[in-house]
Amino acid sequence: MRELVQNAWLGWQQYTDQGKIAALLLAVLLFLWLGKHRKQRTLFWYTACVTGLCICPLTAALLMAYQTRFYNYEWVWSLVPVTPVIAYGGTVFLAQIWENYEKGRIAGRTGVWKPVLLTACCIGVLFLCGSMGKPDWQKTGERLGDQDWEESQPEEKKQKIRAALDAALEGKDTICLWAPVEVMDEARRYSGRILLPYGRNLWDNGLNAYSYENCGEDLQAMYRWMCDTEAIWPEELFAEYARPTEEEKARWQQEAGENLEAALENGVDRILIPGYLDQEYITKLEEILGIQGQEIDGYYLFCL
Amino acid sequence: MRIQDIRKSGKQNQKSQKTDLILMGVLCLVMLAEAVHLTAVVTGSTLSFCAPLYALGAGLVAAAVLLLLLGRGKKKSTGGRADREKICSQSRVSLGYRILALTAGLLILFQLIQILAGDVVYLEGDMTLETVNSFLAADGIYRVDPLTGAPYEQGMPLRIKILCLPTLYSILCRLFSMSAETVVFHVVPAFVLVCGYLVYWQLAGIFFSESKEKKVCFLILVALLLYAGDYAYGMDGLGVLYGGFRGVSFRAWVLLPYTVSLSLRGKSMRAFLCVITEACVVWTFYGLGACLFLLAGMYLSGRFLAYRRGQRSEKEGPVCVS
Repeated sequence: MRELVQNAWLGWQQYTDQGKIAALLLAVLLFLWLGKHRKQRTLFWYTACVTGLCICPLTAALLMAYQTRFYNYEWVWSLVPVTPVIAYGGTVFLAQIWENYEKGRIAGRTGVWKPVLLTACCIGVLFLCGSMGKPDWQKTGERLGDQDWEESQPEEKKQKIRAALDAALEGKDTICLWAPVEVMDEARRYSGRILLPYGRNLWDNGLNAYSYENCGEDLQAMYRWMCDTEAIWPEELFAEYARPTEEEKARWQQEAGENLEAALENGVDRILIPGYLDQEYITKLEEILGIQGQEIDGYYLFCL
Repeated sequence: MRIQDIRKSGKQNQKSQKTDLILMGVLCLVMLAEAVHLTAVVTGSTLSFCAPLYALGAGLVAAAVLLLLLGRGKKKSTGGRADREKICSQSRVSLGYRILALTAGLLILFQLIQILAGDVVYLEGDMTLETVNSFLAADGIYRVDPLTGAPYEQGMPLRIKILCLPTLYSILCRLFSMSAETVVFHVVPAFVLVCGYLVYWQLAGIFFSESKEKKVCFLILVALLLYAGDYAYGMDGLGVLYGGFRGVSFRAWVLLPYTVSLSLRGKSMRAFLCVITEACVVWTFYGLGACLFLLAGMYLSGRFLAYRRGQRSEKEGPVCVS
């Protein structure tokens, strides 16, 4: 229970950090109360009470317990009809403005600029409470020099990954693929014919709730080695002091041998390696595997 | 109550009943998918067996809904004076209403295009597409781990296994020969968007039965709230525009507002269908989910207000007319 209360407390901070729709809801409820717009009393009282329950950490913790620990704090707000109530309050407010304008127009007093300006302000407030353009979760990618890889070319990158997957699948009904995270992330979504030694739950922890399957130590080591390999950017991008040392390269090679053996034991028959690796790393992998890699746009493919 | 108001509320009831038929039909299709899914899980039936079974059931549901809709359409047409009145009232539609209706239509159309043609999907913590691909590849339900394609060794939680949406999507892929990505990321979210707007149009009719302009303004604000609320997981905007295939998005955008609509119209018994449908599409506390909470909350709120009204009228006493 203590953990739930803590999650509820922190959850409210996170919920209001990213956007202010909750604040807009409170403002609408206040408007409906003070303006005595009580036509939908049942909905108003339900919304007001449950909003209070969601904000107070103790009651929010109870609601989280009711929803089961499968869900995080933000899902208790699904019990509050946020969208209908804000839209209802907004409509009542705008209707009041335009009805006052109509009465004034008939009496020959009011210009149209005032209700238009107020309507524009309302819509502006609505968007100020929201994402205001591209939300944070859409901004991905790492900077490589001056270039944002994923942010600038998401569709191109997806096509490259799919071309690599097609090349790996060529001539086979099913394959067991070991590849960088971005490729394995896409693989099972692209085709059910691509098997993987370990799943997306290793880097997307939310998926661990969907099954009881465990990942063995050897598979976790394979994942860590592949992540380390992905982090080996071309040497010319780094200052000399930041480049990998000979000891680090030797350790990488030793771990490569161990993990490639583990991959073969786990049924892997296709390996994709990032294409930006320096040639010395590719040559070492070819020596260990005893086969030559095939260069595909952005990747090296080893067919075992 | 004036005769025009009685006629308006009568027309509003008829429109609500038509929307109710369509939405109840959608809920029945989901519950039918649940029945087929549970049959497949328990008996180990293949997807090739489930798909035609579902198609048969869905065809019957669709036919029933269509017949009932046509039946209501025939009853509504009284001919003669009523039709002439309708034609006259349509010609009196104001410029303001036309502008608002056009704005609402364009916003909804843009959202539909964004879902059908867009490529941005929120995938964190979700494996629906992997699951559908696994079902299609293995021609069965939960025979392999969707994340790896390997057979299950430890199994999965029962409360996840009983949810029917991946099976429903797999069946749709088989029946219409579409790719899993098209069905999961485009077709289903577009359908969910349209269903949600039907529910919100119904809510608009309940809130603002006296004014067409207000109804359309309500719909415009709902559309704008979707755009404004796409910043975080758990918000309606992100759920509908970038993850409409998820059970939680269907619940938030269709089931919960529909439960509100049914509660406000005093049709709480029908709202139990929303409770059952929610249990079929999202993880709940043994079937006790958000729809049941909302239903109970609205009922208690209504009873509390009725009690307060009763107390007030007791205090005021009988009104004497001399």
